[in-house]
Amino acid sequence: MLNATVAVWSLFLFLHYISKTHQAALLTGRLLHISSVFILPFYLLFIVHLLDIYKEKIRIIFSSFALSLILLCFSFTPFFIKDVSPKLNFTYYADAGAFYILWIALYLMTAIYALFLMIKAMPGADKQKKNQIRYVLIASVMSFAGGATIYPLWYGVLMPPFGEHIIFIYPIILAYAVLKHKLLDIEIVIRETITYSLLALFIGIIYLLMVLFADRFVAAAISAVIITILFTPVKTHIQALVDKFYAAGTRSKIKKEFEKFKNELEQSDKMKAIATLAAGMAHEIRNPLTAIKTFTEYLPEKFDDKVFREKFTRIVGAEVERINSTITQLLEFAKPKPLNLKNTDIHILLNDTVALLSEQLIKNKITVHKAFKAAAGKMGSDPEKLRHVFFNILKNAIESIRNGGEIFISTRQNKYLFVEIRDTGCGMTQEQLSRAYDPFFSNKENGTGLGLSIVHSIMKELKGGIIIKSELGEGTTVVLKIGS
Amino acid sequence: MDKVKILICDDEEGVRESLRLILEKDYELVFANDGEETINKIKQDNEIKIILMDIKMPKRDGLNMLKQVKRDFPGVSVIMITGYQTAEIAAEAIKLGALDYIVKPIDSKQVLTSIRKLI
Repeated sequence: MLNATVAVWSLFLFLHYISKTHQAALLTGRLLHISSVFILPFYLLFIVHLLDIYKEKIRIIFSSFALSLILLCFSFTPFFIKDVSPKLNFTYYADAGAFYILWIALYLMTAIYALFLMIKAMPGADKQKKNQIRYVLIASVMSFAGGATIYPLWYGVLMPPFGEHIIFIYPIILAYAVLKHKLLDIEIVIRETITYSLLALFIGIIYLLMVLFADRFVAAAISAVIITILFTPVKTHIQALVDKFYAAGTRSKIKKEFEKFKNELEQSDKMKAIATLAAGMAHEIRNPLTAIKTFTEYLPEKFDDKVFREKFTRIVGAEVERINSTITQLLEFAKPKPLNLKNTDIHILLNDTVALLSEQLIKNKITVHKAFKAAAGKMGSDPEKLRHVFFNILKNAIESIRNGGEIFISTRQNKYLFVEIRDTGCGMTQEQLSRAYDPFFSNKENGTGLGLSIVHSIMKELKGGIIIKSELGEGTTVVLKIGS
Repeated sequence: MDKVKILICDDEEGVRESLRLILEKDYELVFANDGEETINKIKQDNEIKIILMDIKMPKRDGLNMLKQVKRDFPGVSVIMITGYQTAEIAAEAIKLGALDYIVKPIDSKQVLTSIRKLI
């Protein structure tokens, strides 16, 4: 806002200087005060925000705005600018009216008060704030001093307004401070600059139209009234427009940021999964390694012990096999085979899998009940992967049954094909259930904890679904949703 | 002098048998498969002076067990065995009262030294 008022003020000052007619010079001289009276309160507002003392100084800010509004009422009266007359090299230069002294008093008071606030805040500020204040302080002193040189000539003191050129250093210093010391959020600056540039354009057009089509003083008066009345609503509309445009610009930016964030999250999730895998791997491999290492170490000493030799063969052989199986499953988990879709008969697959496990079913005294209600049971899917899914779920069901029990396998079909596998086994606690898909989390004595993890990822890959319902002592039901 | 009685608590036969190989010459050994069995064995046999216990076990995890053993049988020394090599778990075990911490794959000399230090 401050910069916008300074910009508008500068524009009218320039127009005032180049005015060739008495009428134009008087109009621009008066118009330049519409913006200049607001420079002071906006400047003060900027300073209290910079120093984070807005709340404490809110009354002073209001008073400053009120005084500026009062002065604004006199902008277009001879009390403020009496007339314009040729001075020094200027074709026309303003003559101060009776009340003009009030404006100069306000100018000096604001300048001194703002400088006082900044100097007072300096010792308690952190390094970055100190730098920001320092730059604003330098810019302020230069601008006020430079600006002050404009006014003597208004009173007929024949001193050229040389200091006005210094004012242009002010935006340069602030721009430097914005970039180097984060004086402002640069996006807000861009947004506000667009808004107020458009606003200045609007004021300029009204002014031009009035000058072109209306008569002298009337033109000035009408344009002042129009600008005063329309300033706020037009500003609101422009602001909304800029925000809309800017928001559209930033939406893609937000989306990009979101994507980046999501990727980071996925990456960190992956890292977490790898950490879980690594910890699980460590346990799964170090346990058998313990046996292999110790048995090998005692082999020379106990070679003649028949019991030792028998244990060696059994335990070491099984442990080597276990390491191999863990690695195979891990590889499958980490790098699954590509999807191979073909016409698949779910019922045949289920029958085959049950047959594959028949030995264990007999050993554990388990009866399997089948109720295949799906019309055909045929669909496009990956039979190899589905076989893996059925095998793992059935194996879990078998292992959950201790002293004989039952397994119920049923299918039904609507838009999807559902396979339900229910067992009368030991079931799971809610805590165990909530971790069922975690790799290396197992409820079984010798489980790797990879089975359901793999099942879960296969079902995801097949764009199907899996639901597990279980209660401790009540058995487990697994429902698979298979889409074609 | 009677041999010191040690309870070995691990759910895996390979680890149990390995510890048997390392310790059977010098110590009297008792074995348990899981947490419940461990508690029952200590209750029944007050000659058990040392427990070697795995941190990861079915039903109840070793750290949980350690807490109960230290509370109910403060005279029994506990050495934890684990396949996880993280400082946090080791620190937690020591905080809960374990006197030592052995990482798998276990080293026979380290197991023997660790036990000798307790006697």
